[in-house]
Amino acid sequence: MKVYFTIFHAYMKTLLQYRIAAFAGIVTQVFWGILLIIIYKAFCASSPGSAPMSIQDFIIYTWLVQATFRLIPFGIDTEIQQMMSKGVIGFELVRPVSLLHLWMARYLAKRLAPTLLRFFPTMIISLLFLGMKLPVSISGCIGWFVSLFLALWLSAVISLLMSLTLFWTISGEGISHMMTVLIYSTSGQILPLQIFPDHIAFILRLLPFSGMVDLPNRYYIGTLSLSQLPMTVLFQLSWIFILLGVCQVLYNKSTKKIVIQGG
Amino acid sequence: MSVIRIENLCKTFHSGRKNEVKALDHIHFTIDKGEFVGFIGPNGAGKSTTIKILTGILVPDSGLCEVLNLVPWKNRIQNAKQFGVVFGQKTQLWWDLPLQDSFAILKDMYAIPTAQYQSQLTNLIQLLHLESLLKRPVRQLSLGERMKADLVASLLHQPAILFLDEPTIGLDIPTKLAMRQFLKTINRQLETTILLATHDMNDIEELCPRILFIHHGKILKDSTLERVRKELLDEKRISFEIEPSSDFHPIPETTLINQSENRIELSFHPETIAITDLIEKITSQVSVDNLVIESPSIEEIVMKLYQSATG
Amino acid sequence: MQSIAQFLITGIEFLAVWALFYRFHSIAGWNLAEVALFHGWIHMIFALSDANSRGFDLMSQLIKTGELDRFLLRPVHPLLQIAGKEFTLRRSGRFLQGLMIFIWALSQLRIEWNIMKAGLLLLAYISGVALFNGIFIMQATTCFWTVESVEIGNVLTYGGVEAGRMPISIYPPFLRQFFTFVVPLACVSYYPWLYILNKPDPIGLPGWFALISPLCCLIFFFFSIGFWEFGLRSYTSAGG
Repeated sequence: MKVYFTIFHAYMKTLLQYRIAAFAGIVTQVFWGILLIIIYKAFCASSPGSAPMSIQDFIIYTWLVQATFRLIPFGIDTEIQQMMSKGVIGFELVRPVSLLHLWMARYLAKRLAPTLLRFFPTMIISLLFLGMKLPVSISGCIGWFVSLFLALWLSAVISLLMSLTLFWTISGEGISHMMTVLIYSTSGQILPLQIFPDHIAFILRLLPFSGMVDLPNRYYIGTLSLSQLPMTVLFQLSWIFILLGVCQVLYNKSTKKIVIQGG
Repeated sequence: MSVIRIENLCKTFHSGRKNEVKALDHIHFTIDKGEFVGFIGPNGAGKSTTIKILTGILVPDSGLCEVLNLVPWKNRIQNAKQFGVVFGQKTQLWWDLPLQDSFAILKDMYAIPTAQYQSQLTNLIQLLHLESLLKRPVRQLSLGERMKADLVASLLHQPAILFLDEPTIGLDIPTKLAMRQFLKTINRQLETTILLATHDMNDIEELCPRILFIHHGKILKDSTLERVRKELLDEKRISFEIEPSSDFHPIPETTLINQSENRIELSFHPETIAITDLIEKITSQVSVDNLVIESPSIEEIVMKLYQSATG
Repeated sequence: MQSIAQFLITGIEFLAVWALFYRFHSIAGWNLAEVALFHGWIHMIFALSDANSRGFDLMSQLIKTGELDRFLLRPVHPLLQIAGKEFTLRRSGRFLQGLMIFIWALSQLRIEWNIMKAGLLLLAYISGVALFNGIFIMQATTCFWTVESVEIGNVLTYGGVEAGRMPISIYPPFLRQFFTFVVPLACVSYYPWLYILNKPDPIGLPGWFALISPLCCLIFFFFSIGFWEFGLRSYTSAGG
């Protein structure tokens, strides 16, 4: 058991050192946020009555997305890809612990560390200069925090799932790319789900990805109230366990493949 | 007391519908505690396949395989604690993390008690001179440094058995020598049973009293190097320099291997003619310089082995 | 399988834009089809530029491994060698995406074509490719001084692609001028299309500007090559 914490800790230590990359990331996210807000304001200006979301709310939502940008999995895990191309995955089976749990600990760190580095500077800059506001209420803050915590776990599981698909396709690039686009568009990372037509937003909110971005943000803005927390926690937890189950199945199948075919 | 037991082990690989490769064809051997066994054979002979089965990451088609009384692929996790393994080109360390973090993770993974871990780690690091590299991420290490680190990683939990699959490929001479010395030490001091699969014949010569020769999935020789040498290429070589103009007549008990303007090389069997007699016969004909007597190189012996297997 | 994936990705990526138009119907006097035009157009340009940009991405690696030095020894201009290093079709999916949306947009709009407009279009496309390559070159040039590539360049490339998908009239004057005269993204899509669609320019630049706007990109491109030469000189004089 302790080994998972050791891995998490080791990766956190290493990843928290990438400060220059974090700086570049912050600049990018700030630019992005400004751009998005300009675009939305322009849209609102052309037909003032049609806004599904107030400009104020949009601003807050956007800065939350930018501040937690790295929480969402994207692209391929190059370390895993390297391992695959060097045929080292079989090696992971030589260890006395489940590879699945090892990777889970690793992904928790991989999602958390870069986010931590970028979160505070981005929040401070946007709070001071770019129209960002603090959570609408204490209960909103609590809801935001709890769902954000679960969002981290959800994100780690989805990262795990994406890596496992690499077992199946030699160049997992195609699948990873597609999943990234899917995740970005449907989680609220590109556009708040509220902007989508209501019936589409409804469907998107059933998918696990919305649990990573849209859900916590709605607590922060106040669209969701604390009384809905049990429901949303259930939603996030259910998806976490379902996806973990899928991961386990994929993993068992792949190891069987390696173990019979020789990797 | 046998530590590894393999009986009638078979494994066939299927690639596509028609392609079938018989990787292991009823192989059979036992290894006792404390042995240092060399596993040689051409590429594709079955060495890696055997090791993969022994470590539990490959399931054979039929036959028996036991490692310290456990069936590897059935008790994968339990078995994993009994051995250490180093796969030549591949590393088991975490690419992005500093070396010491990789070791710390392994400590927890194998549940090594702290005191034992500390002393073992210090000991191994000292033996292989890795002190200055502990803080470096693995991806920054050179091949030799990484191989040494992988050796340490494989031995942290003090396993009874060590599997090595081509561990010295691509290493420079000093590193190779250091590794050989290290392996000798742990085999003698800790009685670690070692199975070394390699192409490097010098490794074998230096380290392995016993060799297993595998070819096309069959064990063709299970013997010692000395016996194999006697069997296949029991001859000695004598070479010497002569004056360019001298006339050298062939000596009946010898075979001429090489003759150039000023150098001659002959092969002979020590049983047919004693060395002193031979030297006398040579020097009675010509005056010689730089006389050297040697056994055929181990590469030649192994070549003979390969040839006799295919021939 | 790949083409199905690309098709789906096209749809999904455009979903956000579509959603915004579903709610608001227009932005600064431009409708969905016109914005889709920008979207597809920019993607087609970027895809082609990206095809030969892999070498520039790897610039810091080229320097570290000494491959750049090898390039300098050959009788071909190093920029061409870097550009040709890995011509990949990895972005052909993006090109197809852009093309699909572009064709759809064209079908929705009634454009009166003539020789001028066709010529302008061709010029705009070439200039666009030149522009993006110029950005890649400049980003690669920074590697001469900082061995690790400066990720901030991505703000210009990917950020530029994002910004270029909307009419620049929505941006504040500072950004507008930046994207017209400094990194002339607007000259690749906005101004040429303004002319082709016969739309008046709310910013007030004269009509003929649209015709010469692609030239701004070419000027940028030559500037980027100059910057490269400058960087190369300091690299070689420093002993490499």
